[in-house]
Amino acid sequence: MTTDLPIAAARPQALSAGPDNREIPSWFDDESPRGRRTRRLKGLVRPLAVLAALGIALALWYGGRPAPAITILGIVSLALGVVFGVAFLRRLLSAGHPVVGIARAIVEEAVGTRLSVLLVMLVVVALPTLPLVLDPSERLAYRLQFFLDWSLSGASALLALITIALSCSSVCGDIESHRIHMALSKPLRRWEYLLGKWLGVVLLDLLLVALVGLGVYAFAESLRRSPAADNVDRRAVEEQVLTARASARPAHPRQQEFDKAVEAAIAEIRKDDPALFDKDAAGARKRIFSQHVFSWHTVSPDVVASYLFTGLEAAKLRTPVVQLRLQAFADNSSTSAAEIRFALWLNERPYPVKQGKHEEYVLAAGPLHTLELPSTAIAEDGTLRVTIANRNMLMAGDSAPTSIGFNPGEGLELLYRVGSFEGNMLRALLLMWAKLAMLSAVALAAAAWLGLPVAMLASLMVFAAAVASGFLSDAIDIYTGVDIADPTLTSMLRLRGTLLMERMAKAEWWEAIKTVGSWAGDAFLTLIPSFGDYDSITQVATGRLVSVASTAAGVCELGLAYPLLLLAIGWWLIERRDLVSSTT
Amino acid sequence: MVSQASTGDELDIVCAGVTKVFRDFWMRPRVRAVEAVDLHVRRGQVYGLLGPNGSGKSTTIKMLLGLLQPTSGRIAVLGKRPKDVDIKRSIGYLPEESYLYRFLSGRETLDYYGRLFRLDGRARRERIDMLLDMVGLEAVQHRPVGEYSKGMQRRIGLAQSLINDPQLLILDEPTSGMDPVGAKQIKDLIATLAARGKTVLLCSHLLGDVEDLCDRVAIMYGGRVRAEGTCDELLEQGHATLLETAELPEPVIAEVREVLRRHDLALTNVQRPRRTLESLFLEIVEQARAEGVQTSGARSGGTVPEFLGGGGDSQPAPSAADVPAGGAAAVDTGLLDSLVSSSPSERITP
Repeated sequence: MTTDLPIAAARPQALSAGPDNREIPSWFDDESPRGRRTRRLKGLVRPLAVLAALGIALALWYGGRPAPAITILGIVSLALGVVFGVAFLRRLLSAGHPVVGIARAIVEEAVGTRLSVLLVMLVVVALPTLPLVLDPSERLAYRLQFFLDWSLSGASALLALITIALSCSSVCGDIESHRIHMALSKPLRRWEYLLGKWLGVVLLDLLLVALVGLGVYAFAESLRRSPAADNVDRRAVEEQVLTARASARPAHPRQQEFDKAVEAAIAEIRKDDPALFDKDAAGARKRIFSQHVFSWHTVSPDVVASYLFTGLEAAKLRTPVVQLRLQAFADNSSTSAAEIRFALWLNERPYPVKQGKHEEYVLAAGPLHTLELPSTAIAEDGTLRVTIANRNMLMAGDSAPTSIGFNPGEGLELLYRVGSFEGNMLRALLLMWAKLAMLSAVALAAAAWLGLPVAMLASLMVFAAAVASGFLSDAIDIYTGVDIADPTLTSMLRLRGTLLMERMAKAEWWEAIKTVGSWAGDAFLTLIPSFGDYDSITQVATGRLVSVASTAAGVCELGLAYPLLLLAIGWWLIERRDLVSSTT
Repeated sequence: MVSQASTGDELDIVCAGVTKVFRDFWMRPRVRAVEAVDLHVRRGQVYGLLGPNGSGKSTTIKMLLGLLQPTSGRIAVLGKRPKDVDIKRSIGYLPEESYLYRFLSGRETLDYYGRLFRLDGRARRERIDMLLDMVGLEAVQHRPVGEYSKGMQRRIGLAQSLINDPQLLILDEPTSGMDPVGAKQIKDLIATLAARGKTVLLCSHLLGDVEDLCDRVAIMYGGRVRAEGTCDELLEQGHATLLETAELPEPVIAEVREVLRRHDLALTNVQRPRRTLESLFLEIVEQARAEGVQTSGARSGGTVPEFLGGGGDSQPAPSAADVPAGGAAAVDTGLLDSLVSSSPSERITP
């Protein structure tokens, strides 16, 4: 066989320079003069857009319209933050490791696919636009609260969507387009594949959460600097919104005492008319229970009620004032008064005393009030007994003055500053990120064995269930007629069991089926952590402390334990799955 | 057939009675994609897997890669089970279509696959530079792969399959979507890699390619291997002999006829050899290049990188025709005539 063929002889030269046929137009070729020009022009588009936006912002600022200028500035800074943040992530994920490689690829996917970019743009645009829609005639404290609440909830919902969409579409896309064949024919274990995807999404979430946090903080600071309605408003901004307050509620009589009272009341009713009670036993039990709680929060006319707050050592040491938060109604059987009037004693000492006289409080009934009390009134052991005497006036046409009824829960509370707004915000953002980390793992586990639409739906369902967990389990309990105020697992099981037996004995089959159905619902909700347990956004917006302990617990549970468990499940599923259809 | 000399005793792929049954959602058997397949591929062999669409080639390959679990039978790849992740360090795989992230550029794509092999940044850079040069895509390396033509995606797919310097290369339809020049380069590349001691499992519909390159061939149909052996074993026609010489005038042919008649044989077929369209096409393109005709296209590709095979061979890829073929004498002339039809030399095949 010879080698002096014309083709073979011409090879070396042809290989280095010979162009191929019809494959690439010259503008496509980055190295050709035209390609270089096109690339350079394209590279200029973004810097020019940024400069133009900054120019417009400056013009608006000096044209006397600072609000839209700040908005444009915010959009530009957030967009730049995304660009530089992604560049940072690329640098971070440059190591030669399969997990890192997969993580890097999903970051690129997020940047390169339209859906994620669209959602990120929404965050980047919506966040700075929100201050524009706030009503400037509203009190500043409310505006700030509204802004914090809406911006953080909105961002967290959008980020949840981004996380679910990206996680699901990435894995399902890999499987559907067979890209996963290429990846898994490399030395990449399937758990490394899932872990890499999760790592990428979680890092991206960390970046986005950090940007959202910075954005919200910057706008909150700029709102803080705008004029307040009055001194009370200013003080509310500083002491009730941009702060981190711990709260204490009055020590209730123990659950057993309530229960004992409830059982006694039930026995009483049963004695009178057993049929009436048995018709709706659970409902009646619930009503009686809430009546007891309510009456404990009610101060009847000419009665003095004492509420004991404990564990206030920190408040005594750290702050000069504690806030007593009240929401009370002055209701009678026939009328309701517009205001409440009461006298206050702190640890048996009258308060406030002005010029030797014990003054009374007169407050509007209905809205929330915050009274500032000196922390010196707190006893050395950290207790504060708040004694309230009803001094309501006799209304015309009424036989007796109205009672003062505090809203059980938030209607009677002591609050005191324990930390800074910044720290609170940081912890809230960490919790927000932990929730996203869990959602990503849910979506990845679902995508490991379901197709894209089903995996997305399943993940969204878990998201919805986690958000509405408390509400849903209440709804299930009410639906099946099982409702205990403070259920433990065993008490619930026992009650369910006896309920089922009772209903079967009475041949109430539909009710029995409802009971069994509620077990499935309860089981589902038990498996899903409740995001409500770590509701950091409301806390931040109302200036309440997001505690280090609950943040650590949340990050461990939602950001670590659940994801690892879910990824393990996902791995188990994908390990057993044939990733090829039977077509070839 | 290019590399029989380097074929070792070590078996890189062993399939023994491998069957794959796909089941539907209710676990009922739906398709018997592969049935009782036996394959033995030795180190250094170029092994051709042939068969029409749906004959079970790709399923077999996916079982070799551990992407599918065989329903029954045993598979060993590089001496281990296919699910063993460690063997994949030494496997290169080019699927029948290049499944790539559309938004990654050519370079980023190779970088991504390099990471999966735990190559550090420097090693990745060096290898990617060489591979991009080899497949002729360095000019468009920063373009998203989604904008590439099918042939260019094939080239990137080929580059990614080589980034780990694999001992075993599994190529599923490597030349699909390529123009004849690109297809020839891939064939040359396979020949070069085989000469460097790589094992290649080649799946193709283009029977000419397989015939040119493969030491052994298995032909599948309906999930079973219908025929298996070396190209010689499968293709040799023992009842005839073909002679090739320079053009003979009529009197000489008459003389040959006479000689044969004396041995009680007849000359059954006298014809002028025809060159193949492929060789004509390649010659025209080469000629145009030599004349310096300008065209806008992918560069045709450079040298095979040094790191492949570890030998310090930085010579340009020898074409399939350049490789001294130890067994050429045993091959039917039709096998190589596409490459040597313009040769003036005289060969006689027994």
